[in-house]
Amino acid sequence: MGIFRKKELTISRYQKQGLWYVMPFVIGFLIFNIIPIASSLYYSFTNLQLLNTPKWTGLRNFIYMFTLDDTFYQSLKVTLVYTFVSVPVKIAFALLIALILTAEIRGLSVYRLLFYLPSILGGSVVISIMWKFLFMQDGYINNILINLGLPAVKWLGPKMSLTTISILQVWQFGSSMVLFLAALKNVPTEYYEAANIDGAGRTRRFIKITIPIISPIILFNLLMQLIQSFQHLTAPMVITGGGPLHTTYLFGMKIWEEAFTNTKLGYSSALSWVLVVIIIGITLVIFKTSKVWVYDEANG
Amino acid sequence: MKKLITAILVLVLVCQLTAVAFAAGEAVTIRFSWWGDETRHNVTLAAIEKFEAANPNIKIEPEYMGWDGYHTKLKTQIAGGSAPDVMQTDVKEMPGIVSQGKVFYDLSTLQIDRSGFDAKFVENWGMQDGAVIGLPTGTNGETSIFNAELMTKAGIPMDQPLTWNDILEYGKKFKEQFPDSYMMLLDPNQVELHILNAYICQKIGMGKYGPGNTRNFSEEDLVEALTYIDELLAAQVLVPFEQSSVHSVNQMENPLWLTGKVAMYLNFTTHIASAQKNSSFEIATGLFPSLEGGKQSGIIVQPAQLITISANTQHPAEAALFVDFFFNNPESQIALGLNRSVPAVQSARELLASRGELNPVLNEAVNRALANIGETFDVKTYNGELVKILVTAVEAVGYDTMTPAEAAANAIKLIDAKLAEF
Repeated sequence: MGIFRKKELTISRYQKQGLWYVMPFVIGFLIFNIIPIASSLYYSFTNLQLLNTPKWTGLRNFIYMFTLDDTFYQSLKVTLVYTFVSVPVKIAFALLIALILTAEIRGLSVYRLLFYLPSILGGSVVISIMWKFLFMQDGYINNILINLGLPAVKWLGPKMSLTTISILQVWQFGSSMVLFLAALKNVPTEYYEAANIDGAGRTRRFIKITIPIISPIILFNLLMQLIQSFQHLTAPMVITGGGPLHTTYLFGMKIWEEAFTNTKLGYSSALSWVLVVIIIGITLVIFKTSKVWVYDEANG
Repeated sequence: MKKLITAILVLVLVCQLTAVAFAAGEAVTIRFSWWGDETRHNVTLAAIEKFEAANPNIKIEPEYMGWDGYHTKLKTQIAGGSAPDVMQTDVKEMPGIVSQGKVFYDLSTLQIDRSGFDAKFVENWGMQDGAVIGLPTGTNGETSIFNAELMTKAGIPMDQPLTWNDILEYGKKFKEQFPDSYMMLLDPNQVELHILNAYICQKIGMGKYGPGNTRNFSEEDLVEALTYIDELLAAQVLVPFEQSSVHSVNQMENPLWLTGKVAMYLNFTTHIASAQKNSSFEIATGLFPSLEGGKQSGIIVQPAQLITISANTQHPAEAALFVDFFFNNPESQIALGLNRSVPAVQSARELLASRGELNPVLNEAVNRALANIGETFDVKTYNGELVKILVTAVEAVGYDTMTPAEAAANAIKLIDAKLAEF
């Protein structure tokens, strides 16, 4: 009694209809996302292999990972280097090409398409195989270098293999470029006019006007590319197999190898969750720092 | 009226669907998976065709692909409970799979004629806890595969046993004579098995690992083997890893081999057919290299592949009928030929010999390996994690990032830690 009254839940006919419409998505999301994610979290604390009944082992997988796994830190290091070098380079390149494509040049749409194509094809096995043949010791790239009188480079040797894989990642700048193109077109021209009047040069206008205005898109591209980059698998698997000497042993490859070569599904799940935590951590840091460098038009 | 027509149409549809269901219910479908190249796919499909013609109520659904990723897919299917009924499985993968439970059917409980197989061969490679879990398709032995023309030009004998030291010395002279060519081609994974493993086993007179977590070789043994590999690479006797590792899936497609710039290749006899098919020059074989003063030949002889039946198959009798036909039926034996090396079944060997189809080069290489078979090794030789440690040591030496002593010390430490987990 008193001030608390049970509020009757009434769902209108239209709301019920709406529920039915979203039900396929909800069921699919539950079956193909939530349940597998929850299962993976459970398995990360077990000794699940190919066929055994998983037995709860507590933190054993994580302790092994941080203290006994001889390739864990190498894989993490390779992944961090790969991500934090290739992603900024890719974004910078995408912005550069987008800036060039904002000029009034003939055949602009053709250039846009050609630059965008690698981001559609680049993640495929076929392109990775092509990359392998381009960069192998007696591949086309070295043949060109030799014909130019330059020495052949060991593109797939221990020193250069990560760079070779990174070049493939940077080559797929098209999707970021398209977003930058849209953002650049939306920069109000009055700002540039005002800056012109004040005598600001091209570089100053770029740094003080263009970059701040498109900074939300830079943030979006940075986050998306970082998150994807941490999970890359196809290129190192096809081109180098994670070698030589684990120099291209990205974390995605380690997770795959532990699951499907070593059949340690529980341990592989534990590795996956460590990756999730790392990605969330880095994302949070970027979000926190974004208050400093991302321009918020609403709040000035 | 409309309702009547609708009712009649629904009735007709139901009857048709029922008829289809009944018809389908009479036929049994067996899924059969294997890996191989185009030639193997064609001969296997031909054998399947023969079986289906003889057994119209059994349909074989083929699932084939290349070597790369085959066992990853198979293990995923096994884990998901959707393994094919009949599976071609690699010997190296068997220990890892069977250690985790009952994956394969006990073939001794099915109607499969196993009298044509060598009982010892089946016992060594196809049994688990007294059950016959796999039958060998062909006999595979380590061998030297030569570019006969290049070896002859270089004046290197193919009919005499070569020691590892012979290969190094001949290789140095070969490089002086043919600066653009190499004596031997192997990628790091192949070096680990066919040089490092062989060298050590020949030196110590037994397999690298014993029961439990026993390591039979010492750090010094490993240093010696890695030093030899280092010498091969330094003298450019062996193709540099930058050029061999790119073609690790099939070295017979390496341009260096195809253009006749490599004199010899070490691998199992199952590669002879591919070498003969891909190469424009004559292929010869010789005894696998040995260690001077070695205690055993170290030559591995194993099944080319094993044919297994899934423990979860819904049609064990039909699967057994197919497997029996695959191995023992003359039409199947002719169709399959020597694609899976010299057949393990005696009747198949006799049939192919009577038809003049027993590839003399392949047959000679297999018989040679069988006559010089090494001591049986522990299955841990094929343990993926232990292999990876040694491959990394080979790569470290091959890419000059570590000396043989450093690489050996590091590898021993990691191997012992891994063995402690077994």
